[in-house]
Amino acid sequence: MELVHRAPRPEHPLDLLPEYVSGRLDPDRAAVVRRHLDLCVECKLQLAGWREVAAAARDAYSPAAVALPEALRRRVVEAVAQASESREKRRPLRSRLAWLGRLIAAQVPLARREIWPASTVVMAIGAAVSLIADHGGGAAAGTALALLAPLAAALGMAMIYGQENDPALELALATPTSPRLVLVARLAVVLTWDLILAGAATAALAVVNGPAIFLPLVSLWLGPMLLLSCLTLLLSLFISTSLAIVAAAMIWIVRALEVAGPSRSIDLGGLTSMADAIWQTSPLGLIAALCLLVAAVALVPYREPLTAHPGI
Amino acid sequence: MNGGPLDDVALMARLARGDLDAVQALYGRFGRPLYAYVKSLVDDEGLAEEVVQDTFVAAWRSGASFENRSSLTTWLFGIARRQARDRMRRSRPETGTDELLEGLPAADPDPEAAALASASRAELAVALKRLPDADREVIVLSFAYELSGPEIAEVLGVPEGTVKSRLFKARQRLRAQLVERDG
Repeated sequence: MELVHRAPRPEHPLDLLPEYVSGRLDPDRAAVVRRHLDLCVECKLQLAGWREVAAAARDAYSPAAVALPEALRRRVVEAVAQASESREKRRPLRSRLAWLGRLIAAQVPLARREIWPASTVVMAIGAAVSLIADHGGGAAAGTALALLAPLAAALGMAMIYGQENDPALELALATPTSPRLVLVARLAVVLTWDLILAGAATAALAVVNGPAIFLPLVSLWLGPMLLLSCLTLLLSLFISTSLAIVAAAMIWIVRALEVAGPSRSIDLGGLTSMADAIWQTSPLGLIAALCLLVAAVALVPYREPLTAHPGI
Repeated sequence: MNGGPLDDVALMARLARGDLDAVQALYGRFGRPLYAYVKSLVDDEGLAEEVVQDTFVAAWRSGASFENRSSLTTWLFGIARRQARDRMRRSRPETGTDELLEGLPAADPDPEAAALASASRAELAVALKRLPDADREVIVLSFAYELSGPEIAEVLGVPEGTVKSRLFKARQRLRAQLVERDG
């Protein structure tokens, strides 16, 4: 007697039997099956087989047969609550950008107030001296600005971070905002201010001396400004603001003298030409600035100014 | 397990809003059946608990998309099944179904129709456990949970015809095991 592999004859409702056993057959079809079973021994045997399978499955696998761990309810509720909480924290991009904007704007009143007038004054002096000295144009147009713009920016940069400069910093660092983000936000604000000032001063010189000097003049101060700023920032973070300012001024003066001097006292060969390339608006100079910036941002959480130790 | 369809939609909407009372209510109705079902799939209590947690979190995540097209039971069982599969895939490289299939006697037509009816319940339970996962699953959903053919098809994500053919194949394998034991 071979039952399963033979195609069921229409009068043998074999494929309805499982649902008949589980009680999921609609009443009409259930009635058809019932009537058939009264007459068919073959199908009755099949039904008995399904009933045994069903009983074994119920015994082993029905929900009532399984011991439900008592702690599971609590764990489920906690898991959903936790997932719900973490979704709250993941804000959409737009609100994150708005938050970033607020963070940056919040740095303006927090940064040391002297930064704004100090850099403005130094930059204005540079522009004024350039205007007076170079009136009439020429190759030297804007030299004073190109000399003073990096220094003005470095001055500001030395003052953007650290308790020495910012009584509110301790409070700010107690918030969930990372010190790196605070540093980058402040740096962005101050550097933007310096770029606007230097750009405006250069534009003023270009109006007087002709538009052709605009781009060469920008390239004269931009690279050194970024490099000196990043260097000063790093020094201010790990030594102190005042020492960073002094160091930046000295480095810059030495550099200026070296460039302006009629001849180099010591010929350092390749080293000299490398220093020239770094202190310019060049890929090498930008890379050097970027490296210093990355170092400052990376190290700022571990910062412990050396001046905190007596004797240094 | 059964609530009114409107109740189900309202419950899922509350769940999607993060209402923890709705989680409690959903657990009250489905905690036990889901745990039992998942345990039948993974055969490990600790893993089953984790899968049930994942299932409720996933249900909460997609609660807003529940539109009553399917019943809440089949919807949740479908989620639980996917979560169980993901977990098993991560915890062991293969489910071992193929090995199990190879270990079983070939599905040769056996004339012993009474083999199932005459087998003891304990023997059948052992044979059920030895079935390939896919076969045991349709038996469990049909008889331990009394789901209809279309409902099982929805949980498994396969056509209804496949459910039926798996059911008969599973029965045939059970019978083959019992006959082999007798013979």
